[in-house]
Amino acid sequence: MSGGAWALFAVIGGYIWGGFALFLTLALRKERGKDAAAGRPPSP
Amino acid sequence: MSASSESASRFTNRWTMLLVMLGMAVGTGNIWRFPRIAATNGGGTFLVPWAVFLLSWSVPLLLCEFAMGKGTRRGPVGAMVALLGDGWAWVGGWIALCATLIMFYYSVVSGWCVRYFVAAVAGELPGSDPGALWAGYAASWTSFFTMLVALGIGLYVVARGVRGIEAAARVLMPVLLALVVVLALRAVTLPGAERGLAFLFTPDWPALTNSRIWLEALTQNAWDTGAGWGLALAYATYMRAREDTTINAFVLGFGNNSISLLAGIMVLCTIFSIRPEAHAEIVGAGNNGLTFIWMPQLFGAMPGGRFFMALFFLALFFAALTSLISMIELGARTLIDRGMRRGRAIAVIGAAAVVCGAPSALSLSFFTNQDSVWGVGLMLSGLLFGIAVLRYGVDRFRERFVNSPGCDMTIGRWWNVAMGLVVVEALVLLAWWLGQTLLGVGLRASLDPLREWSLGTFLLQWGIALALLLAFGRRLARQPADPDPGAP
Repeated sequence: MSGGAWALFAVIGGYIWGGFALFLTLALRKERGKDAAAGRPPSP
Repeated sequence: MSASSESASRFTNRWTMLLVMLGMAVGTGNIWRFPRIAATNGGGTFLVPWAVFLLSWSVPLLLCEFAMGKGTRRGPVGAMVALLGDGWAWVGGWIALCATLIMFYYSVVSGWCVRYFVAAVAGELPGSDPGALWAGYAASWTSFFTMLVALGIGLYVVARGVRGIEAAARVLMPVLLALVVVLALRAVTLPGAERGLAFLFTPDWPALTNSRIWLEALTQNAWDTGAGWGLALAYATYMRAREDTTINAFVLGFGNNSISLLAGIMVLCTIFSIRPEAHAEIVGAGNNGLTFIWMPQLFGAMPGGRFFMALFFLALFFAALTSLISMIELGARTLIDRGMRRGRAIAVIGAAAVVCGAPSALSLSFFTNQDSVWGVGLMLSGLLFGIAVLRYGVDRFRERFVNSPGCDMTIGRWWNVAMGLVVVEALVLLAWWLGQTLLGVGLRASLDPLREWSLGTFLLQWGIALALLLAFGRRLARQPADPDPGAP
């Protein structure tokens, strides 16, 4: 693969997969925070 | 509604809700359409507008659907009436009807995946004549039978209510994600796979001025995320009161496109490793040709190919089934909102699917016609969502339904701009797709309503649907105060 192809792979892969990982982590962390605030055991 | 019946009709937790929503969004469009469209539109060049439209079409529309469903606790018809009054019932009716008509022929597609999974396990594939199985199977009574199998599974799941949908997603989605990752890893470790990666990720920057690439990228986002279909709205009626809409819309949009990107790597690396000289012919063979004729041959030529072929068709079936479940739920939800009990609604939807899906199972020409007419009709659904929010007032909608107390992430005025963009994008897409029908076959032929793909068939079928919805709009708007919440 050329340098340009590797660069686009990093940018698109980082944006799509990285974005998914980031938002999923954020969503589950916020959920745990709400569980803790409500005094409930954390969701799986 | 009592507290116990309310909790019985809500998703158990966020994780399960996200699995259910991802199941809705991830379908065959991610696995068979994305790699083909990316490959025929410049590979790396296509990925740039595709990534842009994720944030200017898919996420804003998903957010809108989540907020409407959770805010009104009704399907598309009830949500539009609650937001804008009885006169907007036909708008919700169009959204529900369009997705339900797609469900009729999508159950045929799901059946095809069942048949090919069985064929891969039984060693019938690839066979000595690559297209023989497809030629003898598609448009046959066996195709109708496999449609019934897929439809039966989907109806059984939805008949059990939100708990049934959750149970299916808890099993199907983790397995589907694992299968896609395993298949992608297998593909990138094949000899010569780097040519597929290079094809998918090499940009041709001057080609970004080609409007067709942008329109295809927008179409791909419109079709494979499920944004604007009304499906996310129907599922959002089961969101818990404390559930957030914004962050979940981002997870869903990015999660869906993550699967598409993996599928693109999986399919293109396999093609470029096994038959690099025929890549243009393979990706130009259409969804059915690529999936049901070429993929078995490619897997057949790879070490351990039969095993990976079975995994591929199993993944395809799981992707199709989870989307089919969401379409059945949307149809059922529309009837339940009118006061029908869930069991009866499922029976009505099931009977309609058998009768209306049969022509698509028995004729590929009819299937292609329905796929075109209602696939493009979805862009009208997206447009109507955008117009509804603009009519209600974007600021008002945002403050009342999205940035509500307890939300995890507030959204700013960028969403106002995004919803305006959605309307413009939908108008451009509709004009382009309808223009394609004129340019493709000429004005005279394009007005013929009996052709598979023509302006005439679009206008005739849309016209009948709209006339019926407008005629019965007021009746549609009449809904009981507290419909069946989601328990079986």
